[in-house]
Amino acid sequence: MNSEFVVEVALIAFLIIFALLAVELKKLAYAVVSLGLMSTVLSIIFYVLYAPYVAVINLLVYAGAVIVLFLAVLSLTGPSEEGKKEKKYDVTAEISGGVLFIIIAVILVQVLITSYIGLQFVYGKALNLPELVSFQDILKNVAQSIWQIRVIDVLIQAMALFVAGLGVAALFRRERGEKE
Amino acid sequence: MIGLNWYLGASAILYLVGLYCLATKRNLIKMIIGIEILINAAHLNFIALSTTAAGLDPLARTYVIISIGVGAGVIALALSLTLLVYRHYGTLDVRKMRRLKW
Amino acid sequence: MLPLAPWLCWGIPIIGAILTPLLAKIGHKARDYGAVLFSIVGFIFGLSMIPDIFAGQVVNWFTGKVLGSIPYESKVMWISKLGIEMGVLVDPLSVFMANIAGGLGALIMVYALGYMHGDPDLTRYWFFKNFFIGGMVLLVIANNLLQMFIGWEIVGLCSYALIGFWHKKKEPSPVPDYKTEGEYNAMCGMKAFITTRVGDVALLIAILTIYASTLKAGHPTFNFLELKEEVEWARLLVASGMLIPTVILLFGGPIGKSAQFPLHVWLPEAMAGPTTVSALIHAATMVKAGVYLVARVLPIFVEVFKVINFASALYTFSMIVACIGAFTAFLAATMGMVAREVKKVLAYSTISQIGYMMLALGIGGLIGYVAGEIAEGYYAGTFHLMSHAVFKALLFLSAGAVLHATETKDMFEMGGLKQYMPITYKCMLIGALSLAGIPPLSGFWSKETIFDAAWVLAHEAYDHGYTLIGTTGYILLFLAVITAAMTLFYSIRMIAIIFIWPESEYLKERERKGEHVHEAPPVMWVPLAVLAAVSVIGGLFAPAFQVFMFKGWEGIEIHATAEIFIKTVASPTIFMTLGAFALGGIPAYYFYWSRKIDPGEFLEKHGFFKAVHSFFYNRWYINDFYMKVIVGGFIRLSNGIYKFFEQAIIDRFNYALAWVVRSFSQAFRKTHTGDSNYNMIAVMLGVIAILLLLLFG
Repeated sequence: MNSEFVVEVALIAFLIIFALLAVELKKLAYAVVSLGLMSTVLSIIFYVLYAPYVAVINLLVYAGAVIVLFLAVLSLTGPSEEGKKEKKYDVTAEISGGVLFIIIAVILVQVLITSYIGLQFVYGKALNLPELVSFQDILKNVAQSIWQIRVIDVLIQAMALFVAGLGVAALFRRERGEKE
Repeated sequence: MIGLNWYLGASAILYLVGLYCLATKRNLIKMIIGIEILINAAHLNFIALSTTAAGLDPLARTYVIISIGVGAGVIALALSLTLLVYRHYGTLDVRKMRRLKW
Repeated sequence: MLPLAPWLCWGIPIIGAILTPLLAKIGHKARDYGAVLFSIVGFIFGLSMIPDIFAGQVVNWFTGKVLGSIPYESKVMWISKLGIEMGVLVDPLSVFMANIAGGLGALIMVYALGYMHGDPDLTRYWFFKNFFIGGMVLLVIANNLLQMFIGWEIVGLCSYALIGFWHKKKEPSPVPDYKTEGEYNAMCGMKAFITTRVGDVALLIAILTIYASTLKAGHPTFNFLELKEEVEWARLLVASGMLIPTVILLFGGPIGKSAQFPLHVWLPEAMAGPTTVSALIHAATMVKAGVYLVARVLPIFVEVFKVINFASALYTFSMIVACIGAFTAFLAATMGMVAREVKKVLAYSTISQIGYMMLALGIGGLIGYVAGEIAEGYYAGTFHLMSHAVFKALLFLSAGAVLHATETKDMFEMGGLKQYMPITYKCMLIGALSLAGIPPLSGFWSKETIFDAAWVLAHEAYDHGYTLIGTTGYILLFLAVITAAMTLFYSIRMIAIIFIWPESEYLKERERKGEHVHEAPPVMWVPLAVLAAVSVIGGLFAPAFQVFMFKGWEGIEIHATAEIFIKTVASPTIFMTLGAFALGGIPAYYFYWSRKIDPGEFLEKHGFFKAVHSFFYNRWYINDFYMKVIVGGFIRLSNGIYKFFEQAIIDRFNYALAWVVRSFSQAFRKTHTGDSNYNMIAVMLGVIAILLLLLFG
């Protein structure tokens, strides 16, 4: 049990805890903040996994712009009613909780078995990364990949964002003489 | 660096948390949070699998970067639709918006 | 001939038909004159082929190049492995028929300018008329059976469309089964089409059988010339015993199209169409298509069957043709004697005269069987075809002029028209006398030739030892002569009732109302005069006609000019003809011309004649038999099938199927709750399924 192991496992644990908090917190503002924290932890994990670009972009987008959007919408829709008591029994949560439990049990069993025994199964081999690869190389490779090999995808993504912006603008347009 | 399985397992758990949120919660904004969690889980999966012993796969990283951008657009649109829905229905409860039913 | 004449003489009318709606947009006059112009141009191309037949070889007039000798073929292969081609054959028979169709077609188109003037549906009329002329010429000038059949069908279609041309008329119908006259006209067109269809199916089966046999023989073809040369197909048919059925089925087409017994019932009803239609289709051209087909295949059969040594097929075929022809001639003439409407009289006389032509061709075949030479009967049949086409068209067109002037169809409502319509009277008289065969008009020469042929048959048969054929020859001659007597009778009757009798009440009524009976306009009586002139001098064409028809045949002796006439007159049959004239003419004169005896009173007094009259008037009850037994039976059968099979089984199956689907969707749609949470549960279930598949798959 070296420090690396502890740090990474702790990161993963925080990831899941924050996600669960984001799902379960009743006050929406708290839920959104929890989502932001989860995204931050995810960025750190990305950095640990030798993906600095991804980490930075994730941080900027999810822990920045999206949170702002959420908070803006929250303020516009007023106090939310997540806390209203339901009159009747919530069947959906029951069913989904049960199903989820089965699935998680299945997966965890497999994961634990593999980690201990080292069997090869569907998730792939256990791997150990070698020493740190130079960051310069990583940066050069990913940059080259984005801007030369996959440049068209980047352009399409830019267009998609542009369209999303247009869509939002169109959704909020005011019809002549008609107030939304 | 711990084993790949941990990260894949984490990604799976995150995916399930997202599904659970979508299947259970009634508030529209909570459901969008659930979608976000799903997207993040997928990204984690990609990055984890692209970090191999032989080297790093830049193509997967690229796709994740692009996907983050697109995801942001999706969430922006979803939130604006939420606003409009709120204005139209007066509520954010999904169970009350059952127009497309039998 | 003009370049591409065989292709253009049917191509131009068809192009004219297609262009007619376009011309109609320009204006009425453009459409009318344009349509007539197209048919005239087509006729000119047809005419240009005649000198080539006389010369014995086809010469292009523009380039002076000799293209080939008669018979000359021009064809385009479509599927050469299957022997399917499209082509034209320049040959005496086809050029002759093409000119009759084209010439009479053009003349009747000119006449129709006056007759159909002012009709609101003229565009449709010109279209079908031109299409018909093109189809008829295509039929006769085709060089293979398949193309001929295509032309056959085209004329059938146009005939149907033109008979039912006035299907929108609102006056009450003449028979009680239909509400309006328009419906009745449509029924007549339908009856014509379906009755000829029965014959067409038989013809198609025969054509396909012959083709299949040529396919099996290794040389697939529909071509007439090739069928004559290669005899392997006939051997194969003989081997499988199908030759005689095939040739009988082949004759089924002419039975239908040429209105012979037993498929003659459509022609009297076909008179519901405009008179120009009746003149063109049912007197001059379409009904001649059957005669053309028999004349076309007869030389083929004679050659082929002689080579393969199976002449009994020729015997069967010719016997059937001749007997049906003679019987039909007799049958129709009896019906014509008692008809009330002028067009019906002419329809029955058409059936009767075509019976004569079939008789002549059949006799030709029999003479070929007996003595190896078909020229006599062949010539008689085709000569009668030409002269009948002319005088029947003349009769129909004059009847049209009379109908146009008096606006009634019933002969007994006319009368005394001699003083009002002198030109029409003279022309119609010439036509009627030619029909009856009075010398020196053309009808006399052609009928005499037919009687001659029958006489020759009887004698040749006895000489060669075929007593059955000889006796049949005498019987056929007897039938033909009796029919000639009846022909004279009804011709005189028709002329007398229309023109000589005093004016009927109906006409007097019209005079009082101010609608006078007037002579036909020049655009209508000029064609009449032309046809009458041809009918008078037509007999003089006989020698040239002989030279024409037998161009390209080997071993025929062509008689010198005067010899033909003398031969015709000085034969023993002339006495039979004179006897027939007496038998038919004297009662007719007493009944109708001088009106010494009133026919109505005569019938009342003699019950026997009354019974006979009513038998003839009801068309020997053949039509009723068909309607009740065949048509009625078929309708009952389909009703039965509808009730017990379609409704019970098929409809129930449909309802059951619909019920299953509907109840399933009623149950299944409950899953669409509209609640997205439930949808996500379904997604989770899907995830579980995938995981299980990955683990254990």
